[in-house]
Amino acid sequence: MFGCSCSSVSVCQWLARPSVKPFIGEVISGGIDSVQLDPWYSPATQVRFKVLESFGTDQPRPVFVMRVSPTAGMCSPMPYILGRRYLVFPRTVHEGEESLCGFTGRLVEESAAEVALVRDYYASRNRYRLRGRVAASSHESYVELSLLMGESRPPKGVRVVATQGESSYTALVDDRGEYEIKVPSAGDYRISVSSPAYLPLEPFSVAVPAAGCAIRDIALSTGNTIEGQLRDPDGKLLSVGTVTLRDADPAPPGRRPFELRAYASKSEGSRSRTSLLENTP
Amino acid sequence: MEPQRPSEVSSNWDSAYYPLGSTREKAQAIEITGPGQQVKGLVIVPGPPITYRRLAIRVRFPDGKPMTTARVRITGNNWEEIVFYLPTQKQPWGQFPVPANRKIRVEVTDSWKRDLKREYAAEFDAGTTAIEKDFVIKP
Repeated sequence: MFGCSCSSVSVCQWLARPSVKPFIGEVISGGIDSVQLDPWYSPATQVRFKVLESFGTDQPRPVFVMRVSPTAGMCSPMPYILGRRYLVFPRTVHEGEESLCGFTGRLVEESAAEVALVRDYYASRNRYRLRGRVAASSHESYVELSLLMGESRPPKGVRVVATQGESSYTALVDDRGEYEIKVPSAGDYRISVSSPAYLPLEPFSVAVPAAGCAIRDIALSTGNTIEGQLRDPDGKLLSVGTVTLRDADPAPPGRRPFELRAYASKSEGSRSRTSLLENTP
Repeated sequence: MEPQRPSEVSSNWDSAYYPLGSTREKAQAIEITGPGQQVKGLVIVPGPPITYRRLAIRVRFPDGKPMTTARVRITGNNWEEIVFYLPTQKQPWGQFPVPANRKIRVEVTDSWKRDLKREYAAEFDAGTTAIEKDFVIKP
């Protein structure tokens, strides 16, 4: 029997697999070649790429034909759309090898940082890296989703510092909420985060591997809350309602505007309480 | 200048902004200046009660098959919903409540950002009757 769990594989995890030779390719046939096809239920069995850039091989192919199986669609869609360019991590699943489920490509136009990472990695420049996303969130595992859904906006003025011995390496979180620290060698690094707009975070350790790179998302907390009541025009308390906080600032490219909803409930006696509010830097 | 951070209430009442009676443009900023700040005692009063009408949408191809990747955006004055159109064989229509007191615009795009070659949109004046709109997407 074949089975898989639905978790995405990061670029760092792909780079740690020397047998996987990524490439950037444009879909020239196969895949999703009609607007009538739903990537979640694609009948496609193969995708033909015109290879534009190859990594980790001395014998690049001009064309790469990749078999895609219904199994991939079980855990994720298969959105190799005709005419679009992807960073592809082709894999071969042998008997006994760990199976990696799901769509493994990255749309180039939406993955500039990951494309740059792969290029640098194979050019052996700044080989050791620690990267991740930072946002106000209740847990680090929700950071990516919070940024994607617009429930948290990329924090401004946040520095992430990696320390090993007497040496420190710093990165500023960018306007997408991402950071990347280039370090000179593999090993354990002590990570600290500094920002006047968020509550202090206890330093923690991250191991940067010899192959691939380390990913660590960071959840910040403001400790801010807004609390109040909903009342109808006659002054009567309302027990149900939705309060939406919106930011008038334009959202960064590729991100939804910051928006956070709080729901008044009977159990709270019509009080609406919300937290994780962004600070004004 | 600090950005305004209006509070909007929506349920069976019309949306409104904090403080009482303000418009979106005149909404009062709630300023958060540092970590650990607690703002308490805010009283938010919604607008007058409003009624909703039924909006039924079908998005399909000329052969009758539903466009399962359709992204439907419904907007009115100061009101917006992006809804998931999840048709089934038995129920090809998606149904959504929309405010009766607003002109409503419905736009259909592809959730995978594929080019549909032309605009698929429709507008409906304020009213209380149910709306049905059948979009036929030509590939």
